[in-house]
Amino acid sequence: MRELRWLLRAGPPIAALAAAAMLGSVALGTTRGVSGQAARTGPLGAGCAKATALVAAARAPVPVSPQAAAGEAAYAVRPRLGADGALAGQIVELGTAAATSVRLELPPESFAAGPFGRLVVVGVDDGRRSTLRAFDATRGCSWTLATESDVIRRATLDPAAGDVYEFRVDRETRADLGVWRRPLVGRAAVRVVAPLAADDRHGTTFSTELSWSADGDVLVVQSCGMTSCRTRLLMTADGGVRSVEADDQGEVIGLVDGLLIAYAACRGLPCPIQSVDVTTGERATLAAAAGLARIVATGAGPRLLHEVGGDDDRGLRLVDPVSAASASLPVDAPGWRVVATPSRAGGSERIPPGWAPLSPDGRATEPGQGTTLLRLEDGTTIELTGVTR
Amino acid sequence: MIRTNRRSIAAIVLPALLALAPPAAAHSPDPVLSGPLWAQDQNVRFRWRAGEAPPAAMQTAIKAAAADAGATRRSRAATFTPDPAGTSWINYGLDVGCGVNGLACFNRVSAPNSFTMSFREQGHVFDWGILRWCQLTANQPDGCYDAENIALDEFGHVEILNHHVNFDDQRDYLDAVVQAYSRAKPRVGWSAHAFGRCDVASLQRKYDVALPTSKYSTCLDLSTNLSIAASATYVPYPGSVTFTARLLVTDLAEYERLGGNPVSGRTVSIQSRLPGGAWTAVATMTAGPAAGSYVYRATQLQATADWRAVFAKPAGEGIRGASSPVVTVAVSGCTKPPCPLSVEAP
Repeated sequence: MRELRWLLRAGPPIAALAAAAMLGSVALGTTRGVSGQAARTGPLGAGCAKATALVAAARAPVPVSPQAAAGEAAYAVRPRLGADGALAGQIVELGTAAATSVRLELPPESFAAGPFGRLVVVGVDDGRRSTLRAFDATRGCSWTLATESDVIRRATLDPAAGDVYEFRVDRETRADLGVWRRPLVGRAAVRVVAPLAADDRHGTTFSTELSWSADGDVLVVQSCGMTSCRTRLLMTADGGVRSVEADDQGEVIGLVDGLLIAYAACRGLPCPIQSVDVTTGERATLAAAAGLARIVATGAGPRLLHEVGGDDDRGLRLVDPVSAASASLPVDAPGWRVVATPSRAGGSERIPPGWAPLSPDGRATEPGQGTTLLRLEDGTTIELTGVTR
Repeated sequence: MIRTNRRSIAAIVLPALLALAPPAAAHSPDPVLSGPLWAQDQNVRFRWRAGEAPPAAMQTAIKAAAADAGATRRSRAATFTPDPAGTSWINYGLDVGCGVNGLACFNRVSAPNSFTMSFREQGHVFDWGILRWCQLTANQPDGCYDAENIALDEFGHVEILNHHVNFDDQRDYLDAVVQAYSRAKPRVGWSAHAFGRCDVASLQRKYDVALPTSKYSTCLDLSTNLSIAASATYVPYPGSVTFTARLLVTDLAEYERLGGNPVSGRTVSIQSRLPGGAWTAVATMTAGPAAGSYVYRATQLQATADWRAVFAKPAGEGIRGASSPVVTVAVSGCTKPPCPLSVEAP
């Protein structure tokens, strides 16, 4: 393992240094809304006032090296439990691998998504209205994106088009209200994906998650019942919607080259990973018994990276979703797990192509705690060590 | 500081596609997961994960579910015992293994060494609303989920079980606890605390039954094989013969560990007929010395007759009836004619 204490070396990104200068978490002292953060940064966030800066932050290029990744946006969401064990709220930490820029204590109905460039979208519902904000995770300031009386359950950004997509439910009935799109700046939202009809095969919808195809041009809207899922694809270019209702579909891992890659409906691990051709419906099994998994960018295109084996013999497989060709990838990092998809891992960070994040338990590493990256080409691991706050 | 420890990559191109097992038909034994089994009767010890232990009432429910699993497995499946030194752990509130949906989840990738299990926190917000565990909610209102039932479902997964495939109208819902859609109070089955018969069926196939006398789940439909042997097939008049029957589960690959099992403690009768005549019940055979064996001693035989053992399909058990082949016992050598029948010794 190669440990890189980047602050001791030349070249930490300027943004990261700025974040490090801000240092430390911000205990908001409130469990409702983001008022504490708002008080610190103002309604639009200190230093984040210009709309053009918002779009620019969303379009910040992907890091090209691990050193650059150390200064890239990262976030982690953790539940905060009360003394009685009940969910009291969510703790959202924003920052980089090196430093936490903002620590938010949010109500139970809240979420974070990203990063999109330097941005992390944070949604908060206070029981009366939902508010969406975009935080520049590297700086800790924010922009308000939307306020709605409906409950915004999830949101995501399309940086290229400069749009926000929201999944909403009715505040009283919790009925699906569909997916809505609004520009990052200005204008009201319009519904772009209709509410999902009830289907006894899947039961009540537990969670609807928004993610993107590897190319970033298709919004993946997946609604899961207690066990199985249905997926709809929104072609952002023309607004077309396509349903993918493969039998036994579980949680989506990614959409690559027209192949929806998802677990089977397992509710646990190990679990098969399947691909479904969204045009023909043709299915293939990419992994018979996989652990945690994610899509990784490589020089040869997106690949499925998944765990195989247990604690004593865990290994990695890298799979070409199109050809199903695979290779094993031994890892010399004791106790590692693959950091899974953001919704499963409770966070994410921006990493360069050809690398994958590891952590002790598969959860996203909290900002400021460093991160371990695995180079897919040769199995090298690098630890970006966080700074001491 | 830079520390480097680079390992070369041994790239191994693996076989391409692995087919999934075909889905189980409705009302069949539960489908099963991939991955290794536990050892038969393995006692798997679990602890609460440090810093993520469930609230006390949840712990009580989970431990009760572990006991339920052991008490109702009706097989040699693993048992689960709480133990602070256990290598398996259960946690609450953090759920990286669970994904986005579901109330709880498991990880058995390290079986047969250990497992993990995770439960969502009370108050977790889903699209449909707020999760309430009955054990953590005053007066257990409708809509709450029974943690003991959900934990038993998860222990079933940890064993090897996948979700039961129900009929469309769900009339067989109570045949399994390991369900894709667990029910909230007060729907039927919401508080089931025992494995259902189709859960048990798969546990029996995978782990075997405990004893030859153990009952097979009614969710199974196993064919049986009944053999018979006579101590002699030619006896003097009036002779005696001991018949020994052996009842086995037919040795078929799809029966997995159950194939070839001796079946004891059942009712096996012996029948006879004169050549060309109708079968007549003679007696119920008694337990023999070997597992699955049944014996009957016929005395004062005066006529040549056919004999067979018969095992009628029992009520309340998932094995079929069987009849043995026919064995003919010839009686001869009478000293005071007219003899009833005259045969030549073989």
